[in-house]
Amino acid sequence: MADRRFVRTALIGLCAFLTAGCWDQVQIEERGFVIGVAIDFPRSTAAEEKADREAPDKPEGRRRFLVTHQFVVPGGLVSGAQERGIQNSANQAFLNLASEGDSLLEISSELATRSSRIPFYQHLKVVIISEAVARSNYAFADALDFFLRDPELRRSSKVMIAKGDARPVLEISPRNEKLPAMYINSVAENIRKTARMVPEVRLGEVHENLVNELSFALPRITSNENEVKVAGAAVFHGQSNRLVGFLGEEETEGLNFLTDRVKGGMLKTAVGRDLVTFNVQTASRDIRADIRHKERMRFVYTITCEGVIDESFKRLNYLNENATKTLQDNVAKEIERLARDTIRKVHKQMKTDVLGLGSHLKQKHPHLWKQIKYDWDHGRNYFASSDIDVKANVFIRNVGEVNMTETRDRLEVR
Amino acid sequence: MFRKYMRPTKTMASQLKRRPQQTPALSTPLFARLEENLSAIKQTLGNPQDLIVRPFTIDNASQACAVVCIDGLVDSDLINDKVVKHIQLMLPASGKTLPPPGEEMLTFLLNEVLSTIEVKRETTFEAMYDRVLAGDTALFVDGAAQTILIDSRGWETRSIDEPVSEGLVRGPREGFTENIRDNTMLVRRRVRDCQLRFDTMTVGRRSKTDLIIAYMQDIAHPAIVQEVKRRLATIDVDEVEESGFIEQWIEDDFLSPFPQCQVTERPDKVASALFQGRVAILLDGSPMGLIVPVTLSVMLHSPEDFYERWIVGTLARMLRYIAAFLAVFSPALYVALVTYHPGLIPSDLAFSIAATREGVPFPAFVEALLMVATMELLQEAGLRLPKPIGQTVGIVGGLVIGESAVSAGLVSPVMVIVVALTAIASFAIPAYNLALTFRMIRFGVMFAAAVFGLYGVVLTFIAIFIHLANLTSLGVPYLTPFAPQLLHDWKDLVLRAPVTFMRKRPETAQPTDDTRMKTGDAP
Repeated sequence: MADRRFVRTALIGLCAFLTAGCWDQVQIEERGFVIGVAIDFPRSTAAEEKADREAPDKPEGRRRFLVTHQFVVPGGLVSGAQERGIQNSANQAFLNLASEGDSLLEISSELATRSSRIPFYQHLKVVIISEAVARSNYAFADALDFFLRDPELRRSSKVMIAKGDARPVLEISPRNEKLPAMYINSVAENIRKTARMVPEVRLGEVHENLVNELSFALPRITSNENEVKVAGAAVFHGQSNRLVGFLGEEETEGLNFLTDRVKGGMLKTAVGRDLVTFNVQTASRDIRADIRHKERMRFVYTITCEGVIDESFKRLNYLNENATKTLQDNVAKEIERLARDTIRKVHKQMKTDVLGLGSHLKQKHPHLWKQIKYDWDHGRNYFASSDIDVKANVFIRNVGEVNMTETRDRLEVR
Repeated sequence: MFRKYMRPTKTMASQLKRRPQQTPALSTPLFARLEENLSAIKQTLGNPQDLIVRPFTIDNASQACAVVCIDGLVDSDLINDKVVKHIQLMLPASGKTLPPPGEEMLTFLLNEVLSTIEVKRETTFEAMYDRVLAGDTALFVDGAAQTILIDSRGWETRSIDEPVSEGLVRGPREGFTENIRDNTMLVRRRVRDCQLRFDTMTVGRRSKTDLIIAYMQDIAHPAIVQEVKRRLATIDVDEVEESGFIEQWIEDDFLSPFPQCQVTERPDKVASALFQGRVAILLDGSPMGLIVPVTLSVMLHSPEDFYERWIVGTLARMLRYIAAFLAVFSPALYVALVTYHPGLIPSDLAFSIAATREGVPFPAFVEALLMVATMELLQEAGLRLPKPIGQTVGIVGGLVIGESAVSAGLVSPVMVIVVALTAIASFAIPAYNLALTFRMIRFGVMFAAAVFGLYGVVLTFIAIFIHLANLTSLGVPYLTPFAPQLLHDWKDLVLRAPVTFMRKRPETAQPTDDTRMKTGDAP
């Protein structure tokens, strides 16, 4: 009796293992690692017309996307793969598959019919969206919905806006890296060396901004045949969630100072006619708000910046305190200039608050924010009617390893 | 608190009831006549070639005597010098007046002539056989229904060697031998304390193997000593070849994969266990002593943790706890991550694993099973072969099979690394029997990983610990001092505190005298 019961229990247990186990077992080499996705609008309507002819009654989206997936071809990553008998004629480590459709999930499943490996998104590094998609009404959020909703996707993928089409960005062949998406991913992390790119913005953060109706800036990416450049910013308006314009490299630098996102970089300043280059180490900013009149709010940014002198064409005697002080003032003026240029563009031209003033008010003056949040950078646009000023303090912490490269001063040609 | 842990298992209790104690079944008295005795001995033993019967006479052939011993077991020089020579040459020369033949002569010989230390009188055949077959010499005197048994054990023994299975860089190089006298000597030399007890027992109905229970009278908890003796008394087998027989008879749970006795051939380990209030069991003919009770943590400790300075000891211990985890879980983690959760592997690593698995025909589980099983085969084969060939097998197996399996595309190089790591990790476990357990469990965890992924690994992890929490060794919970939390003992656990900090003995074995250092008692 006991034996029979044991056998029965064991059988049931075994069934549980054999029927429920190995549920989503997929060997690692059978997964198509998608590391980059580029989203465009299709160039021609040929495919759409064909689909309409075939099935005129099927549900259709408002617009169609052309999505390029970048898959890793692991065999191409291994040096000497050819010798080990792994066939890969082009020896390319990646494979770009583009597909057109009105739903991103549809495109993803369509890829499974063309690729030997099932698309697997957990290692997705970058999502690149074309300027056209970003400018179009609703299309930006529509394009990201699949990436946010599908549980397999991570909220940590970086989002970037391509100037022009997105697809060519993934089609570059970088010289020192094998995978374009990984290359872009690494480039976007170099904010310790430069302040001219917007620090990485992850999918999750984009979602927060979309939901909170806050304006935000995304990194801008441009490409040519062999390389990309991640510099500049794409400014999105918080209410329409559309791209309203790009900031140039220097304007992005100013934006980073104003939004406290500078982790490094350099500032050039002229002493006389000679350049002295200041290497930024840390920077912080403080906002003081005068909110007595809603219509004419006044904000003062105080930017504090520390750094070292890394290059000096002017033979200054840095041991002299006055020389250092003058230099600090010069650098501060440069920071103020960068910041004012940026403010001029986003405040006066775009009228879009990517400076983080809205969230500052939300945190520091929540009562006021409740009253004005629907009229901040749209509607009555209190943001545009406010007044913004910038002050900068610079501290030179180190003048470099040497005081002077040569003692002779440059002969001024008069 | 302690009594709760002392829960004799059902099987133990029934065994105790069923079996009587080991008493001699019959006792046949010796005959008075020498001839009858000798012929009875020859008949019982089948008159083997190694039986020596040497009859002789004293007192001008008025008294017939004989010595009986087993050749090879006795030290024949001792018999010649101290027995036969004394009786035959020196007795007549001494000019003593001899008593009448028979019992009086025997007593006279025993008291005045024989000059060896261990001498004993016996009156039954059974007692005589026991001693003679253990290497004593029996002296018969015609007319006396008694015999004198002279301790003359002197067989060839192995010299004291370095312990093979528990080598250390720093620490004594002596290991136990097959001779129990050597072993008790080795222990006693380390414990010169009157409280050291060597309680003797004989186990094995036919083999009659000597067994010694060693403990410190005033440190070891009496309940533990009593329980050890009770369980040892239940042993009822013909023969006991090795201490492993004893271990399997007295363990708490014979279904558990985990060993419940510590096995060591190091006298220093035994000595330190005695000072912690634990009990050691030494068996004649086995160079492996048993120490009970044991906990999981003790098996992961090595004497060297104490011989080296505490920082080194602490680091080595942490390493060993990590090694224990790796030895069980690393192939399973590989299987789970590669088949179910490649998202958890850092991107670049995931791609290179995928690249190396390109063209591998098996799923990761089969691949892992193949390699781990090969590893086990190699280990087993290396054990069986003589040492020099064993090394060759290691090289052939490890290098050639590993390398060619990778280049043949049967397994991926990452798998080879994982398997090598696992093997090395299990070699880092100081207790061989625990390492065997880990090798066994590894397969189960791997299977769970193959079926359920990380979920399965976590499940088996929990299952293993539920079992461990339930397991006891001689009534002491196996996870002490973790699970019955004895914070004082944590000084000598993952961390090995400086020796000056350890004023008290570990509480794990509940010592009755817990003070190690007399001065400056800790609060």
